[in-house]
Amino acid sequence: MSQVGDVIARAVRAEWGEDRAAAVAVQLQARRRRRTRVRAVVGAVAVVSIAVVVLWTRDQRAEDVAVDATHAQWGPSEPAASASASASASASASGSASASGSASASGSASASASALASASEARDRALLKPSARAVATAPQPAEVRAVPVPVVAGWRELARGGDMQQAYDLLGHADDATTAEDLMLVADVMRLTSHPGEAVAPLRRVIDEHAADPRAPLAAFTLGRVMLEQLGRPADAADAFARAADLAPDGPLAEDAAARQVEARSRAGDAREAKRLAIEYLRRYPHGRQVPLVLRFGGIK
Amino acid sequence: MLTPLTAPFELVETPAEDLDGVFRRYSGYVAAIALRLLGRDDEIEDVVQEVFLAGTSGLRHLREPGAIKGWLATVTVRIVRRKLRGRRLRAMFGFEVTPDYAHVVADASQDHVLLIKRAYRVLDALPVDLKIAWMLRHVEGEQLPDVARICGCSLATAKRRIAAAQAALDEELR
Repeated sequence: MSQVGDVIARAVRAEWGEDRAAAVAVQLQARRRRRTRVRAVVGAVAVVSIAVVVLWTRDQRAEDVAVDATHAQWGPSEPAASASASASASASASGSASASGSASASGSASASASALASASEARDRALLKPSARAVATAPQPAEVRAVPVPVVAGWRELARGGDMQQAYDLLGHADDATTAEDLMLVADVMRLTSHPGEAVAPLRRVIDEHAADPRAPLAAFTLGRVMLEQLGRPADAADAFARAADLAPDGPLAEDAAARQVEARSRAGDAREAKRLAIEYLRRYPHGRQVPLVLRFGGIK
Repeated sequence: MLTPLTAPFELVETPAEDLDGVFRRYSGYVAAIALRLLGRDDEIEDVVQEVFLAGTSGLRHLREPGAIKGWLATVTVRIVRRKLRGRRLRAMFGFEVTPDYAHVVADASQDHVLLIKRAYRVLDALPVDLKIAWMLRHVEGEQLPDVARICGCSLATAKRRIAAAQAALDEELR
């Protein structure tokens, strides 16, 4: 040991008698009690906060499921956000509250590349597996309640109930789908059971045989989506989007159809046409929601 | 090693669960280390309280009664290190007055008092970790492995710190 250290060790001593130790012990007990109280309060606050967050999240999920299920069964009843504006508008325009209307709405909802795609996926999920509780609590429009419910569960009932796979199995024997509503429902069953190729025919029949029906633009738009996203046929998709815009030039889908047409043409390798369509879109919708998408796929900087 | 608190150090069989007993037996030891490291008496009670507050949970988990002393030394050094760094920071901004180390010296000749004051001033100018390592080795008489363990560093680092502090002291006190 160093000499200096030895000197310090001998000379520097703590005056630590019993009285001082006892006084510190009392203060220590007080600090321990205070710390215990603080910890209890902080723990209680944390537990309450977690409980509030968990309950709030659960309520939000239940609410979302209810909304999705409502959309799936009756079609969207009101525009909730700009992303779903076209979907709700199209469903209102159709004047129908059937599952096919909702499926058409889901088709139009994907017009906005990402946000609408997620909204559409959520509705597709709700179509496949609607929550019984959510359906039970979902508000039902008056005109829908007036529709008589079939006693025998055929493919339509199964599809509307969300059991798409069973509906698809039965659909092979059903040749009676002739109305626009039935054809849209058939298309939904095909799309949601991973048979997009079989959805093309019923969608084309809606466009060709029911061109005056309010659902025709939605059918064309959905066909464009199927061609572009599921079948990898962008040129056909561009034609379908163009048809959707032609069927309702001032309709709620027109802007999204014009934008997706630019995207489809670009993906088809027709850059010149994509640019022309992009310029046309920008002239018509200079402040449109899809301007970024159109600029990107139109090759405009 | 001369220390006023030699006897309690030998009572290593104290059960960790008996916190009051641990306090009675080791509070003097903690106070001694804190006083020598800090060089002032007015913060000792605070350090002792903090050590036994912070060390309570650790003490409950000690399996060897003999480890109590080492554990308390480690916690004490950790708290003292924080206080020394805080003191140094306050001194930089002029909020800390250099302590008169003569107040903590008892029963020493005038030469030794001067020597201790000079040594503390030299140690205060060194990084805190160097000061602590040197004090543990040469004042508290800890073995090198124990110094390394208490300081939370490797044996080589502990040796290097002690040697650096010793060199500075030799340079200034020669």
